[in-house]
Amino acid sequence: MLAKHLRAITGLALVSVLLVACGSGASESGSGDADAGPPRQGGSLTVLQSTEPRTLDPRTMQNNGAVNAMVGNSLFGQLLIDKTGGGYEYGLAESLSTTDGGTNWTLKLRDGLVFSDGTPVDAADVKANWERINAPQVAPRNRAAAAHLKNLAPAGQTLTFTLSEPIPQYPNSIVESSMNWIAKPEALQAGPAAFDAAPIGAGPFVLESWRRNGPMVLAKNNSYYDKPRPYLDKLTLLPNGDENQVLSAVLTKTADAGIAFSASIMKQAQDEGLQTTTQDFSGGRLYNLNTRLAPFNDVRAREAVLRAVDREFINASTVDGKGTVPQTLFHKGSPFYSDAPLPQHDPARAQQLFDQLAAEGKPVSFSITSYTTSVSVKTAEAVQAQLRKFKNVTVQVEVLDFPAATAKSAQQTFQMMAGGVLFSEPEPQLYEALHSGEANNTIGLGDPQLDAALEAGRRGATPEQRKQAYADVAKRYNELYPWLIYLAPDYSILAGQHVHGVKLYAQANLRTDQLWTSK
Amino acid sequence: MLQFSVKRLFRGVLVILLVTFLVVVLLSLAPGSAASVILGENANPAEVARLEHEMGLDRSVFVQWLSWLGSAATGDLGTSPVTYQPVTTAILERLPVTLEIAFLALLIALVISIPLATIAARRPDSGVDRGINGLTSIFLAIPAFVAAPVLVYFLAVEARVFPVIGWDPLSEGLVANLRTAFLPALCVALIEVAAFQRILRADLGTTLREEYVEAARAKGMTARYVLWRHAFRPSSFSLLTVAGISLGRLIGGTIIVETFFSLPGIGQLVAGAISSRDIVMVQGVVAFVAVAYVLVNTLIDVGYGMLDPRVRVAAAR
Repeated sequence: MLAKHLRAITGLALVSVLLVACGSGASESGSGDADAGPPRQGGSLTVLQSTEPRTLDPRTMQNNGAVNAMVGNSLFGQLLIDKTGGGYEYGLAESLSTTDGGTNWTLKLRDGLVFSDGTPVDAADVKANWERINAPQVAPRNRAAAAHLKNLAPAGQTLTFTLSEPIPQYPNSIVESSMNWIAKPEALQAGPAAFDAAPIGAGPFVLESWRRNGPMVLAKNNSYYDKPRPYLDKLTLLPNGDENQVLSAVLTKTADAGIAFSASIMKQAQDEGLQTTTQDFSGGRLYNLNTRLAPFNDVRAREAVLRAVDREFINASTVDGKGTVPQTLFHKGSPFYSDAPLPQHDPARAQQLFDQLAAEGKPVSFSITSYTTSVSVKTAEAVQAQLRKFKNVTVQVEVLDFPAATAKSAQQTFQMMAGGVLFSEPEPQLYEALHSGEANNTIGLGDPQLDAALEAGRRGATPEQRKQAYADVAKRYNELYPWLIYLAPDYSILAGQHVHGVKLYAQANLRTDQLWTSK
Repeated sequence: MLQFSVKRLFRGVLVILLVTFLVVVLLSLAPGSAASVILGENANPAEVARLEHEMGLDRSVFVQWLSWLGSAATGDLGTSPVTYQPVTTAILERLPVTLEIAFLALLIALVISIPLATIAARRPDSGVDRGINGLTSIFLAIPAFVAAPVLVYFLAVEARVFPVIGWDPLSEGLVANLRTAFLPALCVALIEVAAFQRILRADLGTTLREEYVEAARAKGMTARYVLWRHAFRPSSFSLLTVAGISLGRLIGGTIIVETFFSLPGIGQLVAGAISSRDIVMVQGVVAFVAVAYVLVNTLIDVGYGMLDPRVRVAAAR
């Protein structure tokens, strides 16, 4: 365990990039929920979150478990929640429906909803929140879903709206983005400093105090719609991004729960008698190969690198071999699984391609852009070490801090860069990451055949149509070699045995209104 | 004395101006900006450029610095464009944590190093002297990022004497507060122990060979009395100087332990600000630390005079 402690502090940049997904297939290990009886009211818990938000304005927060979901869910609740196995459970919303295959939508809010200051929540508040998201000063990843919105018309508790194109899976875009969080517009208009001091939402908790870089203390919102939830009287969120520290803190009861990002920490937690809750995702931790620039504007260079790298070596070098190397784009439990294996390790084929490119005067030479976290650097070096065994290929590792790496990604000047795409429901993440012209398509991929398959997956009316479309996506994806997917996501909530109601949804989001303690 | 003080003040102001200007220059040289951090990795260059323009980040480095300086001169260190927090508020919120860690670290370092130095000085070149020297060499070789996980493992995870992370302010009670402050302070104190012990040991060694010390011994005074009464005070100038410099360094140098232990101090504030290219916040913190550093060093100069009459006489000339 000391060795684990000595590992360098794990940052979150990569993980925040990684967790862009929706969740189903949550699994628990060592949970005492079954024997704990009915949820108990009262008590308090301290949960470690990986990072704290820079502001509490919902449009600036990322709705995924690795980043700001705990804060957003606590203060603003959720309009809707995706269910394991498909479909949605409604939260602040009562229903969300379309009558024309995904162009025109009607959102109905529950009657009697109130913000934490006692004022009513209505459809106009939803409209105001959603329109604020679609602004140039908002991160493109946050505004991607809202960018489709047109003709928002609130009337009482009902909001009708139109999308710029038919998207039958649009509810998932809401679930996975900050559109799922509704704050009081008048409070937001008071300005960010005032809002951060006294945020108003309709979530299960209200802000009691927030010492930045320290504890954020949340108290039960007595006007929360879903009584008797929240069960806790108080929830304290404390930022710490070092998963070894998280494990130690939960083990020693300094904290009650926290987030881990690697299989090795999760397994260690299980060995120590903690309960762990995880989700199954497709995709994984990966390297983006920039198809705009040499050498990866040539599909052979991409294939050569993917064939040259033994992903099990990365697994062994970075997480002691305890991670899972994905074999297909969609994991086996996914309704979109198809038996289309990801490019496999084939050194002979890799060398042949490297030689071929060199003979044409295009030797493969590139930089791997890594974040400063030890895991990110170690992974890049593992790739570099393997490629050194080949002729006609040269690789440098470039380590950049988060702003520098972000700028490089935005300028589209990277060649191979750490990242991640994780999803259970492929909409909208896969479409936004691989479809030509999309803002989140950082690798500049533009393939008409893949675009057509992604569009068919987006618009498919039946599960069968969608399954077929995504089988086509997986097949074409494997011919284009855009990403080196090397590890499945190993996101987990670690918690003491006295913690109950650990439920994850969407992008590994912890539902804080469900938490309770038997302590 | 007034002339001396004015000179020191002028030099201090110059240092602060230079340091804050260098902050803007260095951060502007680093790739990425607050705008690119806010917009994330998927923003296109045009979007980033537009937001940079809105935030005034496309102005020249000198203009940005002058603009900040104009506000700072009126006591307004500005508002962070990233977190929207007033810089002064952010600093004052976190200052007690960092100051406490820094002072506690200094105290721990002095409490450990002074006895070690005196023991070693009383038995020069003995096995004890060499053993203490070896021990402090180990302390010197352990940076805070190594000391922190090791100490956490033994004292928090195994012994469970201290919490792994977190901060209890003094309002929660002194004992609770010290439990959260001790480990971080110890982590940063270890290196200082080595420096303090060596400096004091060397100065004591020299002083103990002075004639007036020999005279005191010849008068039949005990070795302990001579050491503490006649040798310790004149030997502590260098220690005082280094301790003062260390305090300034500790105020600005607790980044690693504050991040590791989740302490809401200045170190975390500046680390977060640097990694979000929040120039306004970094400038404010750096200016603050620079002022603290200059003040501490001025106080040390004054302290010299109080400890040694020769310094007062020299200043009067």
